[in-house]
Amino acid sequence: MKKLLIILLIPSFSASAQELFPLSEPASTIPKNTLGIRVFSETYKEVRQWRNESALRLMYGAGARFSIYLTALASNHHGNKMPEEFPFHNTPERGKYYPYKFNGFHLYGKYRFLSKDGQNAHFRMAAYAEGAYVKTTHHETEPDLEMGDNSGIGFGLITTGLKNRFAVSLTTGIILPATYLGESPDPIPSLPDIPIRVTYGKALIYSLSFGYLLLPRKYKNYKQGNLNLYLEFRGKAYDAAKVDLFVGEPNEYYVINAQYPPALQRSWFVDVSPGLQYIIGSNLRIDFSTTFRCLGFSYARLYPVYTIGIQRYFYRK
Amino acid sequence: MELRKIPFVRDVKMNLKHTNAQVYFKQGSTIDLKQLPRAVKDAGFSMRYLDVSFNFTNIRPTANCFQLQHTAFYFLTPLPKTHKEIMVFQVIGKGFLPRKEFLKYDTKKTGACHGRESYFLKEINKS
Repeated sequence: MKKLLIILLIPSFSASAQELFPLSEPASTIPKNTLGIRVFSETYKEVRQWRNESALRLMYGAGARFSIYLTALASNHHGNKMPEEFPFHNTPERGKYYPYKFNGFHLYGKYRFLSKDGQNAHFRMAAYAEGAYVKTTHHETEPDLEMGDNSGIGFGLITTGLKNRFAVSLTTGIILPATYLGESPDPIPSLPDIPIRVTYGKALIYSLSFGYLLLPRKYKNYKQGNLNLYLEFRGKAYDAAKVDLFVGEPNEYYVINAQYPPALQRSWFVDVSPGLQYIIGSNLRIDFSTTFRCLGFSYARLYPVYTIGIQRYFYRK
Repeated sequence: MELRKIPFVRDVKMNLKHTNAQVYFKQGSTIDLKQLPRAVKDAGFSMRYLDVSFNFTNIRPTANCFQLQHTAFYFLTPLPKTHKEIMVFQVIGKGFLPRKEFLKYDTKKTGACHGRESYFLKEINKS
């Protein structure tokens, strides 16, 4: 008769808390059949007002190795029409008031295809694919799907290593933004809006994230709080945009690259984001990070960018 | 916790310091060992190894193997005729330890025991 069974397993949730990066996804996936909710928001000051992009994310462990996220996106970042005289002037547009509005959805799937696990250590790799459908304008060529700047698709690879209190993760991927078709007000108020088409630049995205488990020094139970420190380097390299004006009309033309303002030109940058995270009861996660320019800079945000996130899992009983 | 959802599991005690768990079975229940690594993997973890404590009071093993419920267990080293009543073995089988570790073992069946599932047992020095 078997009466006692001892299992040694790795890693525990507590050992991997330091890979729950505030801004980047680790290669690890969420437990099968587990539902998670995350609310996150990024904010920065632009002239005399605060721009804010907020998101509500539902997460589900569709399999032991496959997680899927659906995110609803809202912001006061941009409006329904391109700025007046886009792209020659007002690019990027700064300081104009836009009301807060719902922009659309972002869908993300991650499959962990490699797991080399040891005691308090692991090496994991995952592939991800994402897609966004948003109805908002975006004034810079740099695309962003996660915060809902653009519609489009993307995919990439995540590699995460963890050893004792330290975690490091590398993400590389591409974004293929969708073409935007919309309107820009004619500078002469009596004339109709100008039909406009913007083909945003394809982008290579990359991030290198470091995490360190500060507290607790020794694990005793799951009720102990976790305090984690993070440092993330994130960036993009993107192509120039192509802008067509008076689309579908006899006088349709496109603007040659040399005449674009810098925000629509090919470029690259790396930002740095120190972050702090507290996890209550091994589940309720609160994280905060601030993003600064490091090499080059993004035209799509103004620095510093403050990001806050709150996340919780609901385990199936 | 995924392990607690397994029908034949009565209790799970986690040891976070050593990242291990003690799992207790319900008395008289049908035990399906392969559900254990599956539950651990579903939770996003991996199983390093599995040790099982057997009480041989009501089991009559041969030198090479024994059958329990629907499972056949084969000893990697023959069991002596005089053995302890309660013995602890490491279970050797796919999913119960990393694949690289599993391949180190010679898992050829050398006995007349039958079961829907077959596992190999490596004696460890504790009771």
